[in-house]
Amino acid sequence: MKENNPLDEYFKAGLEGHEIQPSASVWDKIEAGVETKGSRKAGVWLLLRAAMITIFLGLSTWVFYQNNDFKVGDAKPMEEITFTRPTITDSPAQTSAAKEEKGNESRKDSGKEEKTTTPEKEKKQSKVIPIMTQPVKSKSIYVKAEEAPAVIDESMLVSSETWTPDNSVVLDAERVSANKVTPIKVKFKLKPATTPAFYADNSERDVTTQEDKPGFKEKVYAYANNQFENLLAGRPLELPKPERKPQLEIDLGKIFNN
Amino acid sequence: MGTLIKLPSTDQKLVKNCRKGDGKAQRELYEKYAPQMLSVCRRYVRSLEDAEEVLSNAFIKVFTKIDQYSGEGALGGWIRRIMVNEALNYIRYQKNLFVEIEHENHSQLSHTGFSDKMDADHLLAMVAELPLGYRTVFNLYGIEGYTHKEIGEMLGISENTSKSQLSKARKHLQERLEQNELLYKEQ
Repeated sequence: MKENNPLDEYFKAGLEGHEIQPSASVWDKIEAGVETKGSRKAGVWLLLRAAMITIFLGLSTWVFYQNNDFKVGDAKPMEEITFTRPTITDSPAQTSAAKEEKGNESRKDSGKEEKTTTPEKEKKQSKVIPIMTQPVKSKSIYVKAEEAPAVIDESMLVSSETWTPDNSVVLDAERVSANKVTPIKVKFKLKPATTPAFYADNSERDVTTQEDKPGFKEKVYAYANNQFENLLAGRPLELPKPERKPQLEIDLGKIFNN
Repeated sequence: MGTLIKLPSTDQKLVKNCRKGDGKAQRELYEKYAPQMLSVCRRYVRSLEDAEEVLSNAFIKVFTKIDQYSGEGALGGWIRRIMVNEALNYIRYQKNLFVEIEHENHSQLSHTGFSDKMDADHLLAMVAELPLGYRTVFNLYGIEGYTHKEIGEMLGISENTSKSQLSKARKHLQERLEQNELLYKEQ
């Protein structure tokens, strides 16, 4: 402490305890610049709450879409679909006059059946003869688009132009396509063993699984017949069961032990 | 009969509450020390507006750094050091922005001199109107009590520069005082 200089002392003493009143705006600036503990806490909690809500919404949305898998092939239940027995007519005009009936009516009592609808339309009733007992005509059958599936006519099988897929029959398109048979070529060589018995069982062979030419038409026709019967009876349709192709049996024991 | 008067809190209590973040305690501390501190700031800068700017910045620092106050030494002294520091920062900041035009401003001084002793406002005005370099060094050495070495470190100048600035400041103030006394005497 070497405040010896009188001038310094003079000024120092003179200014001692001197006060100037600050304007009100100063405190406002200070208050704005300083976070009181309460406000900071509240701010942090608010942020936390907002974050929690956001996360919750995001999670629940994700879970919702996980549980409710929205697939393309959601099929309608069979009961909702109405079928009309196709009637054999010579022209489309006559067919359009035919009434719509529910497909689950039994086939047996449909021989000479009358329509059971409003009396106004009774005039337009026509005799309904089940498909299978009707005389087969060489001409193609005119059926309304929303009516029962088209009758699989042998002639239709040959030319793909007349056979059109019927939209009223709902099949799981995805599953059908998944079961499509694809040709697989398997070629394998095994190490020749010392024993001749080994040769007997395992030989070099090409194995292919494509066999669609012989008997395919008959198979399709038989399948369609069966399914149509199912349809009329109100039973669920069945997908075609693929034949188990002849598989090559490999005796692994012999391979590994040799 | 008697009304309840809230006694002013002690410094110790104020600090304790400010540490907790108590807004009321902060306000009370400010009310207690702001006027003195504004006077301190006023000496370092050109105008009252600048002084208030320094004051507000410094008090924000006081409240945010209240935890760093160890309790050793008076609270006022601790706050004052923050004020001086902030004043110097402000000067540096101003210097960077533009060249401070130094010219003596006599209009601040009253020439009437009613009292024998120069009152504080006059003295302050005299100091405040000094050129920047003289003013700063005089404040730090003469009033705050720092050594030249310390001043050198704070301002980034040599000790010799500090000494020369101080002597020039004193000379200036002496002249000013004599002028005023003379004027007073003339009347």
